[in-house]
Amino acid sequence: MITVKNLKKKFGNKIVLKGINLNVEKGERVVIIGPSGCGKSTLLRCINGIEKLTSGKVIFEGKDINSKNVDINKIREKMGMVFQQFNLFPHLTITENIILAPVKLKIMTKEDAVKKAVELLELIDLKDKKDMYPSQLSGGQKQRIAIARALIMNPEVMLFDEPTSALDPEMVDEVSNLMKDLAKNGMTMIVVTHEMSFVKECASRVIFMEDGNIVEEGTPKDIFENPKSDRLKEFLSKVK
Amino acid sequence: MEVLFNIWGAIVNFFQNTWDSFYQTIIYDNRYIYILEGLFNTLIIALFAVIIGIVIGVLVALIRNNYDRNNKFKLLNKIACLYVNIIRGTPQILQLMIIYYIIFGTVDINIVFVGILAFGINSGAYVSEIIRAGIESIDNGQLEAGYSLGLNYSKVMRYIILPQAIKNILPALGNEFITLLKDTSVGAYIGIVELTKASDIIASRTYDYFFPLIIVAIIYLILTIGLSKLISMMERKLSNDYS
Repeated sequence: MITVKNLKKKFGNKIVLKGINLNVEKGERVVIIGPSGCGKSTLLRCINGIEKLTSGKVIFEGKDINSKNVDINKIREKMGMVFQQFNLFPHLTITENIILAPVKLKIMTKEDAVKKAVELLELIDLKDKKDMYPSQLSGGQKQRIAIARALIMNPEVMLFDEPTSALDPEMVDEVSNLMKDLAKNGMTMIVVTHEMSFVKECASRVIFMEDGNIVEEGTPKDIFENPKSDRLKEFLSKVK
Repeated sequence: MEVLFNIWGAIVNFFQNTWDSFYQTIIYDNRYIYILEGLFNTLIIALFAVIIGIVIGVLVALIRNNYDRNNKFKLLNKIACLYVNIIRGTPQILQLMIIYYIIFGTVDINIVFVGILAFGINSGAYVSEIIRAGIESIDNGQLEAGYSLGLNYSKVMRYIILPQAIKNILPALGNEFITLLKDTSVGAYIGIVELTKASDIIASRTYDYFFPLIIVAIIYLILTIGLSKLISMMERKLSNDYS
């Protein structure tokens, strides 16, 4: 579904990604772990084209997303993204946040979108917040709304960029549990996270990145119980 | 008794002179008509210049922001930068004269229209910088969230960035409009009969400056205070909406 070929990314003189190759199939739940600054967030941002790559290719369902002939916006409709800082639209109510994209892109009528939004809000247990503004919600609630906002587009794949890192500890579970539910329902996911419970329970594959390279990858069992590289062993000893 | 009488006489005299001055400069020969005409022209110039200023300002700001963010509109961005630099780098009175004496030098054209155009073009440069700063004040995550949902640049701007930026833009924009309203007095230099010129015409006929200048000053004050009240009302309405 997603193929990353020899992806390189430079910020000025600093090389952040040094030739990443990655293949994600439908239904996979790939989790990217690694120390901060290793380029995992940048990789995720390159996959949906928010960050322009320096060289290499990202191919989504057979289309090179950086090709001039491909409408990147159409690609992004199928790739939901959840950010560390939630990035809800503060000037819109919760319902308006969720229905903005499908209505303005004329994918749904306003009535259908509102109906769908209410269903999603029921699913994430926040139906009573539908007319509130983001500033009236807790971090965990905001992040669940952000996930709902991505889900209303019926994405083929969901990208999560450290979705629980900006949350108070007691709010991590509510977001993590929602992500686990999505995983159980077969959503294709690429997740950058430090939330090891999610990794152990849901990941079909774990990728360990270090200094712009993929150092090791495998099933959660491989990674946690049988790490090969010293760097991964050191990393795991710190996060455990 | 005599002292009181003198004081009374002085008071009567003062009011008599003041009234005479007022009568001579404002009422006699329907001179107030000049002030009304001046007020009308000032308002017309300010109103249409503001509209032109906003249209140019939004366009220039979006061109420059689009270039900064997406590297699009390279040539248009160059032109926009040049325009902003020229307008901000030369005196307004000179711009007005260039437009009137050089660009429209050989054409018979309504001078109020020249004023509208000159002040609108001038205002556009300042408005564009205000809007650009307002757009840049919005967290980049908002843009990214919009993009990630499949919205394109113009939809993200229209539905996500600009509605938030307007809160930051409005106070500075209000200042700009008040400045513009006062600066229309520069139009007197090329002979536009706006408020300041109107008072000058009356004063030069009567050699009495007091009432023409004071009345016109009061009119400017009423206009600018009214305008700033209106703008702070809008600000309050916007800030009540959320947060």
